[in-house]
Amino acid sequence: VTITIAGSPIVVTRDREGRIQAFYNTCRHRGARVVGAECGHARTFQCPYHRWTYGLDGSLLSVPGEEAYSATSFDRADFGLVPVPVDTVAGLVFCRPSPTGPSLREFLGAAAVELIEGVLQHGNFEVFEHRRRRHAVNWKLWPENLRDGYHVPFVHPRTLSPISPPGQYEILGNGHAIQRLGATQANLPDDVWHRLTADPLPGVEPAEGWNMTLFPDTIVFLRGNVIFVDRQNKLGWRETELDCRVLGLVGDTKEQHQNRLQSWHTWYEDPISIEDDPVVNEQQVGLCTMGPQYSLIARGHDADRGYRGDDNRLRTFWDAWRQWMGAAENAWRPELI
Amino acid sequence: MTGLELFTEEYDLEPAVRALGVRAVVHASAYSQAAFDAETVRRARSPSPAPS
Repeated sequence: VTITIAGSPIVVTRDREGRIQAFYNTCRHRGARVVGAECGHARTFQCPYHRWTYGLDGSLLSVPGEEAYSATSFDRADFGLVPVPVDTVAGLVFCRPSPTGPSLREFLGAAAVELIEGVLQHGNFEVFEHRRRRHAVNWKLWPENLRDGYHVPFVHPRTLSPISPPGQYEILGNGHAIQRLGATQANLPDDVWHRLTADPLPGVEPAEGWNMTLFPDTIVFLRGNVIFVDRQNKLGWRETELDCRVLGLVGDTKEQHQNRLQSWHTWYEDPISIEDDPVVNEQQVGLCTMGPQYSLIARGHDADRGYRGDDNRLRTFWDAWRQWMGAAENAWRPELI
Repeated sequence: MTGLELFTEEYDLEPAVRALGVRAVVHASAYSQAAFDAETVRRARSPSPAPS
């Protein structure tokens, strides 16, 4: 699988023994991206430029015309793909481009890990849909929007608002939070409600749900019959890709996929693409101004839990930014901005 | 100065906004090209620590 994190192309591999590793997807020769495919199966990776070939473990296996380096100290063993620290929770793979920092479980915290494992360990999940959509805004506006419950009745009055009465959020630490949602049938046709609640995931009530916002750019959504993981991927200072993977159960029928996709459309794709996108775009336009030079995130109290109209989750996002991105080793990396 | 301070302390905010406190405000530069420009200036003015 290839992904981009903070502008860096990364390839994640799983070998025959199931070992997962991640590497910068950058050839050690002249810097070309080695793997262009989004996902797939391979025994080796070959750079398209000069055919340097790497193993799944990142080792440099072959170099065409290697003898031309004989006058130098060149050793293939020194030029494998550069590894990226990687870890998993219940099958979700997380990369940490920084060489230093807490472990994944320390960073996520016990509560977040327990919630993720509590759902994903009940079944054998797989990604059955992968959608990406580009937006001409700074990437941080999307994590903010997805932590902002204040706008829901105004921007989503006929979509999300009627089926998701205000739920409590909980601050999980390190910029992470969870908002619990209980779906209701009000204003929904029976057939739509049926598709939203059909084929519930094992261990999950049909109308149960939560959004787990993980700092900085990942959100895990649980709905009664579907899980989806969204990354707000920064491509440029004003270019963001929402990268969403939809999870179902291995062995699902086509109809079950359709039901899960209906939930995904209802809870995520349609409101975001039709309703959130225009207002977030207006926010980007409005903030590029010589007028008001700020965005207010003052609503509500600083507390461990509260209602979704508060800005507390936005403040904890920026607290985490100060803590993690403001660290000395990151202060010199404008690519993160 | 690092991180969030980049987006708040360097800029003149009107008193009513500043009075809300640093944590209640995100400066517009956090979402703009200005943040890159500010980093560039900072790099030019200060000796850069070795990238980790």
